[in-house]
Amino acid sequence: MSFRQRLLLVMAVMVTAAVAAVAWFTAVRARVAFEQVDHQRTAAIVGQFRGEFAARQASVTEALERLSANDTVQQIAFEAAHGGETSLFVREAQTLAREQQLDYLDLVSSDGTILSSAEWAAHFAYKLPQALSARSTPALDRVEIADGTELGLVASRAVTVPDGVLFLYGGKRLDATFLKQLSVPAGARVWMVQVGSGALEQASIVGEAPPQINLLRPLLSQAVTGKESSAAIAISPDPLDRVTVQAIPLRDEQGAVSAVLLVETSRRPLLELERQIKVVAMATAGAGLLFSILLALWISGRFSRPVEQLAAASREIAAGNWNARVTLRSHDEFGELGRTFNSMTSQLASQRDRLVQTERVAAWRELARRLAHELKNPLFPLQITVENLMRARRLPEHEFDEVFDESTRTLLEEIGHLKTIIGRFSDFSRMPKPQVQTMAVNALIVRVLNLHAAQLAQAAKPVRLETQLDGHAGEIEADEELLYRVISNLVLNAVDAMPEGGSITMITRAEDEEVMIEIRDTGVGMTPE
Amino acid sequence: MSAALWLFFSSVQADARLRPSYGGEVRIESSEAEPPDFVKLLVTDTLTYVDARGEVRPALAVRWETQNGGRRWQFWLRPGVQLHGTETDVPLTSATVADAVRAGLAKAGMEARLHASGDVLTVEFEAPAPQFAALLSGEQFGVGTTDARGVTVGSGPYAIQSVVGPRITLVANPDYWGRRRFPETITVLCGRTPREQVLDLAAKRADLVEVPAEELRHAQQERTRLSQIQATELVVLSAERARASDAKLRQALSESIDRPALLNFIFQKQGEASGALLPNWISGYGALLPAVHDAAHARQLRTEAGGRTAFTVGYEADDAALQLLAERIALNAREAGLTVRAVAHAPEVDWRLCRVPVRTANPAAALTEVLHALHTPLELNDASLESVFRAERAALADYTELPLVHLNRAWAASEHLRDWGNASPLSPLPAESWVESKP
Repeated sequence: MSFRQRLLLVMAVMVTAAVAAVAWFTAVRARVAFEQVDHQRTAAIVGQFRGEFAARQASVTEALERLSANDTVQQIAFEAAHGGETSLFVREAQTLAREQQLDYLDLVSSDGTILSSAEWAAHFAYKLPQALSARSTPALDRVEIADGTELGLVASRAVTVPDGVLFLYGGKRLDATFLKQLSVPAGARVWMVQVGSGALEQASIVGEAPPQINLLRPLLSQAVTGKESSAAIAISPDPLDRVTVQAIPLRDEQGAVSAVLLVETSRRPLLELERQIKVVAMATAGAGLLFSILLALWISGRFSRPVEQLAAASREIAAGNWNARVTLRSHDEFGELGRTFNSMTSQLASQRDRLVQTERVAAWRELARRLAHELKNPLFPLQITVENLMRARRLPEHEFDEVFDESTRTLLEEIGHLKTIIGRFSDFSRMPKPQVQTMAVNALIVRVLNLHAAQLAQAAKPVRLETQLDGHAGEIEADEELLYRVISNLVLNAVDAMPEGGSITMITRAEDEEVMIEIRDTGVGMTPE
Repeated sequence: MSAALWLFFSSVQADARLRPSYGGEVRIESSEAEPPDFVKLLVTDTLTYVDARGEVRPALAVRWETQNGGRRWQFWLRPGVQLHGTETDVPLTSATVADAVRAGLAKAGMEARLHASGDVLTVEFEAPAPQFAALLSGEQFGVGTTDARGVTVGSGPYAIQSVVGPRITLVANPDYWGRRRFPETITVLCGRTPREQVLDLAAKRADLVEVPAEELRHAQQERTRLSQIQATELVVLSAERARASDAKLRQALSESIDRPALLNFIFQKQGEASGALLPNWISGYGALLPAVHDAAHARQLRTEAGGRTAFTVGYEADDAALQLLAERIALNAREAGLTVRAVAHAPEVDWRLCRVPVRTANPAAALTEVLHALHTPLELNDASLESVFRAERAALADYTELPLVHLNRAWAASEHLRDWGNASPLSPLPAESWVESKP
């Protein structure tokens, strides 16, 4: 992965992560704020409910108080206490309840028999035992009516007359009308669920029935046990149709949960806000990503271009172009690097020139030394021969002639030898231009072997010439004659390096697209210099 | 001397106020839209009438015979009877009587062939009609015609003088074939509520008003002058769609109902809780058809029975007593495991609460009228009480008609109405009654 790609990736990740973090943080803060408001709103509604509840309690208490002093009630109580005809009063409860604006009123004899019922006129002569437990403070209770039961705020009051007592069991309904008195803010709804005798299936709704009552069942189950609880509920496939419902258990006088107050607040504003945050975050992330790409491109361009120039220049230098330079004009670290690189390249070129010069001098010295060495060998016999001729001048003629002939022959041979040496140097100086052609490597080695093998084998100190040829070393592109001369020279140099004889091994080896030629001898090796 | 004369004149004057005298006006009020039956029978005569003991007596028919097991009846008409008119009297013919009887038969849901010949009217039925003579005493068999004004013209002791809205004025018929009635004028005001009638009586704006069962106790407490109190209204729960249900369910509903409680509380003991269609004062066998209340057995029956156990009970919306009754039945039925819902003004219900008036003291005729009102067929072999009992028991056997209570009714009269002691709900204005002249 290139520096540019890495930089791009890092910046994209950083931008995305930053935007996501901000979006998450904002969403979390919005949610917390919303839930705080939601909680406050619910608390306000519950407070209102309790206020209305208390007001209705007071109203019921006052109504029963007035009724207990009512003449008709006193008369009914008297008749009931003295075995009078109470059937006459079967409709009285309705009249009395209407007068006192009560929804429920039962006139109950001391044995618990209903004499008259306002809410369920047909309920006469049935027992109403709960009316006998005189309770002054109205409490929640399930009131039986013709169609089932209703949730009411009821109290019982004993009306005492001589020799007897009559119980007034009355109250007011807690119904949709009651709930409508609450000023519920927009987006919120309130209703009550009347809890049956232990079974939630008997529950009935007070107020406008919510369509998602089945979804509330787990919440209600929890509330029935007396725990306040809340839950977020999806009320339709629309993802924004989410509500938070808080269930507040309402207890009757015995402490049993007789109803559950449900306060529903819509989560739509929150979800819309979250959606907006998400959209903004995605837009910001997209923009940031684009920006980061551009920034990464710019930064990577700024950072990698000098590096690439340096790399290209390095490659050129490696290829032998010592004139390669980088053009970095900035005044930062990259500019300094470029200038240093150029300076280093210049110094390296200078050092190379000096090294070439030094090597050239060394080569000339070596050449001179070799030339001297090569020339010194024939010169010594020439000197000896000339000195022999000078000493032979005193010899008799025939001996002189013999010596002369021997000496001239030697002189000629050595001169010829000198010519050969000089010819070799001359040839070296006249290095021809290579004629590259396809040639077989192994055939070339055999050709060198054939040239030198017999001669070297017959020498005083014989040198054995061997080959290890790789059959896969095929043909190469080279100047065959020059290569032949190179290998022959190497063989001759090897022979020179083995005055006591030895062996020379010529090896070919195929390596990928190349062929390795190795000339190995058993000589003493080169001097350290 | 003067004192003796004063005592003499005073006693004469007192005797004059206590002695029946012709003249005066009786103001009658009714809650019905039409005049009560007894008022109609003051205008139109019937061939027979039923007395207070339930016996059939001659009226326009002086005698009758029945043959072929009650299938053929012959009536000999009273001679010299004339329909009353405004200017000239119209003689009553057997053809007019036949027309009236034919119309009455149609109202009673009976079919017969009629032959009028001279003063004899022959009526032939396909099936035995042993109670026919008693049925003829009903107001629907009143003999009369309609004049150009649309007013009924009969031969009764009173003729209709005017009809103005709900107020009908009758005047005495001087040519009535029977004994002339004492009051000269009778004014009938229809459509008055029971409460209005009580107030009008108290304010002396009425002389004769109805007292339904719900008001009887109050009237008694107020020491209102009441007629004889008789149970003349049957409250019955009649099966409609429930006729198709399991008979055990119908029986369960019947046995779940606490009839005495209905009577005691809703109607304040003004009547009798009964399992019979006829009140005991007419039939005398009420004890043989008791009102069974057995909630446990009702539950058992409900368990044994098949089909749906939810019923609707319909009632007239403006009848508060029936509404309460329906709700109470629903409450009772709940204890038997039945679901009953009281509904007002529903055209189709499983059961319907009905008030059926008992118009005659004759058991056979009364049962015929009650069952006809309930659209239940009746088969009577003869007019004997035993036959009536068997017919009633048969009608009740399948629990499609559940009698609940027989309600007392009475009439209340002002102090001006004299010789009113024999008045009863079926005869609130006896022939001997007269109006005390105002001092």
